[in-house]
Amino acid sequence: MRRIEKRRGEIVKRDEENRTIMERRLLLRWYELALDRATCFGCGLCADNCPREAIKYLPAEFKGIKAVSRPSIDFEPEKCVLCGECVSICPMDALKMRIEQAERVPVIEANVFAVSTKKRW
Amino acid sequence: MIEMSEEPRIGVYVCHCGLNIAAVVNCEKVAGEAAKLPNVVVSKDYRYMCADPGQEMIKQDIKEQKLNRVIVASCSPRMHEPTFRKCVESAGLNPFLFEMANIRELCSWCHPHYAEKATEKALDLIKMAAAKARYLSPLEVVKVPVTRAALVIGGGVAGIHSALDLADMGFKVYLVERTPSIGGKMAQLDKTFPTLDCSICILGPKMVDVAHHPNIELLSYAEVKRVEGYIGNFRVTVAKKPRYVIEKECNGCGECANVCPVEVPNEFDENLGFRKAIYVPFPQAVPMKYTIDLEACIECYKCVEACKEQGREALNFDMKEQEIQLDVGTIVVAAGYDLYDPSKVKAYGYGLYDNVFTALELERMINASGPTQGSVIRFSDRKTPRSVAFITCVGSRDEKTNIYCSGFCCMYTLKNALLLREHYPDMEIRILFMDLRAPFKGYEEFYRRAREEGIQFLRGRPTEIYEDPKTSNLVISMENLSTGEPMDLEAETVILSPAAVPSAGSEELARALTVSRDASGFFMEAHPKLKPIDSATDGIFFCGAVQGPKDIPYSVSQGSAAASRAARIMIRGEWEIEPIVAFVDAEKCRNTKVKCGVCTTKCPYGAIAADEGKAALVNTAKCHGCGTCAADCPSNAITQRHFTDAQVLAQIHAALEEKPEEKIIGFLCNWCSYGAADLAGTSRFEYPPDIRVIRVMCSGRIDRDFVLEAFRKGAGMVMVSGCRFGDCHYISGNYNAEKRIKPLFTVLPRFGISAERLRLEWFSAAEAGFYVNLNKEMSETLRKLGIERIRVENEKARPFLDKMLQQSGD
Repeated sequence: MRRIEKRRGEIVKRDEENRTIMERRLLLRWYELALDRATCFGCGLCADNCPREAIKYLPAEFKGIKAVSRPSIDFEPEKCVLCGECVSICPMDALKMRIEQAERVPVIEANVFAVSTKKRW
Repeated sequence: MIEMSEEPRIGVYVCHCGLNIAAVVNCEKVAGEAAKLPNVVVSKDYRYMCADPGQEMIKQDIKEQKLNRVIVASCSPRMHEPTFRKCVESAGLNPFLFEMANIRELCSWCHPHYAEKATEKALDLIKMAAAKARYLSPLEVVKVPVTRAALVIGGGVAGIHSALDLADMGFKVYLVERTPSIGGKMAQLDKTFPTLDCSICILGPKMVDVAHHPNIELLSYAEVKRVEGYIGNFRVTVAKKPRYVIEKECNGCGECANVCPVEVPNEFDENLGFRKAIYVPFPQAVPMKYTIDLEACIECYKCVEACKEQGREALNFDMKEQEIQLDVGTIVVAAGYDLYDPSKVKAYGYGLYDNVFTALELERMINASGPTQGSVIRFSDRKTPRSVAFITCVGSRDEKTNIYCSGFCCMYTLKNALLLREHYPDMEIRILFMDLRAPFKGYEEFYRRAREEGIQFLRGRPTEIYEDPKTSNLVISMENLSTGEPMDLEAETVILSPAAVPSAGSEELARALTVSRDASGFFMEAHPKLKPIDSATDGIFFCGAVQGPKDIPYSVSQGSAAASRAARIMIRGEWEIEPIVAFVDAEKCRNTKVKCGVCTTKCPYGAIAADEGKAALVNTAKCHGCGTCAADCPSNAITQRHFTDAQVLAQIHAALEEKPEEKIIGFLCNWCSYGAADLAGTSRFEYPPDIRVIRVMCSGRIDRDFVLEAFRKGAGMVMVSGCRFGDCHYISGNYNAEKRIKPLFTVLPRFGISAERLRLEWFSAAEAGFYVNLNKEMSETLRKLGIERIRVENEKARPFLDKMLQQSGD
């Protein structure tokens, strides 16, 4: 697959079948944040708690009373800093983060939880 | 003002300038004709007026012939006016009784194929100068105090040296750096050519000197916002960006960065490695103070905890941008350069293919403190490439990108190749080049060394690069210029050598400083040969790559040169500025009778006060001498010294004495338009010799009456010109000029004068080509209209013009 043009160090977002992948490749450090769309049920917790507001919550779409799509989320790669906050909060384990192929979540390793002042309700 | 009532006795000196003038203009004839002009008592021509014998001749004539006005017809006043002013002054004449006729840049150099017409034009220019000279009056120079402090903009290697030199001389120096640390591009380099010295090892100590020097105040992470004032008395507003770390409290221990969970690409490592959201760009940074990148911070406040554990409270998330006012006497601009973005050259695939790098990326990789600790690897498989190809001239020497040669790219390419050879003796290294340029001390030897060490040189410009999808190797297709055959070349890694381009934000900076930039966007020096460090604005100097691509030794020597140019002004404590200020004739000023105050609204410096019932008053120290107030005064009560109405009108009359319909009267502002006209001359661009130039300090000085008077006297065309909007040296002069002149385009046709006979044009000092084309266009218009039609139009318009000019009181 021919990759799209990018600047050094920028996060590239790409879609694969059921997954959305956010990838940042530095010379000796590859980061990957992957969302399993099949597992995600669209609770939106990650969108609420993202400290950089890099996740957009997409509500379900209805035709009359019939839902035509599930609620879901979308990443904004230019805002994301790959801190892993969303991974730590996901109740469904739909988000996975890898650094250098190993599953790692920076905020969990540092034992921090970002202060979120946003309220969903 | 010293009054002078005696009859003018004018001496005219026509300079041959070797053959520069004499090859085109018949100097003997011009001098002979000039002798017949009223009040001219001496008229001579000589090979080099600026040389000692020439100057002696003037001095002797002043004494023997009792000359009280001197005209030298030679080069541009921007070149030798100070020389001749000094000359007449030493003979006891007031320097402002000297006038210059520019018959080189504005005449002989740009009309080589119109010898006869050029001679006529030269005589006209002398006539105009003589006419103005009759109205000259002696002036006393204004002395202004000089603040003994300098501002250095940019903390790269040029700025660092400039700041250190000035500080060592005992001046207070403010060094403003945009990024969190000084060091500039040189700090990013691994080694330097041609000696392969370690870059940071030689720069680091200098950076530390800056930090510890008692005379230097370092303002890092700050930007120059506004510059007001003039030589000796600049007031600079600097915006200090918030670090969110209190500089005084931070001791640079780095505990905060250790606990920070956020990793983002490090700009200092060309985004190949990472840094934390709280960071210093590199271990040798000066100042060694951490900065929070709020764009990446997730506000977990781990850093605050870590800092507390160290017994400090250095973090402050409520920090705001701070504006600082600095009073300085001189400004040194060392704003540096950026590298050309090679992804713009699509054919080379930078950003598209993994293993295409830039030279600076290689520099970071090969550096022991870089993201790979010194090993050069490929993006795709993290293996050291067995073959590397360098491509030079990326973004330079190409009409599609930049036409200029970036100068140092050849040398840094050689250096990078040699570094690779040193690290990896078995690597196959090729340099693909168009021309290899290695002038200056030790550079050619360095090139030989590269050849001796087995680096292959292939001449040709690659047309395209492809990636082999399996191996991620790169195939370069090019024409081998030595054999003339097309060839494909495979390399595991390609290193592009991008050109230097003006740094981001240099446009805004140029605007704030009101200095011009050249066609490529680099800052323009006052004179390419004799004032390479000075800007056109007094008291502002350039050093380093801000003025054009430069290597390190060149930048360093310019840094020291700029320091000495700046010190030359500050050492004296006061500086003489031209007394070309505005003054108000209290008797004419109507503010005594009615509430007027137009001048106060027009003055860009607030230098005029008009209290009710009193005549307006100019604050000479604040006046910069643009003359906008003089042009806009409704009762003609204000005039600008050395550019009085009488003087300008006399110039118009003299220019239009003979065959006025064939001539164009051009009003040019001293800074941009006249600069462009001069540059057209020095570049030897040719254009038709119809224009007669009248120099004013600013387009704001150009009175509507001047234009009307020119048409009344029968001028074929009139051109009013100034700096581009936003570039005016007097902030708003050109806006006022536009407001004043534009209505004439509707008024003149009503009188019967075709609108195309008036031109209002804005161009910068670098736009010589624009000036040349403009002249060609105008001459074409003149020819198309024809002398007859112009005469008829003028006859028809004269009664209206007479009336208008009478009303405005001329």
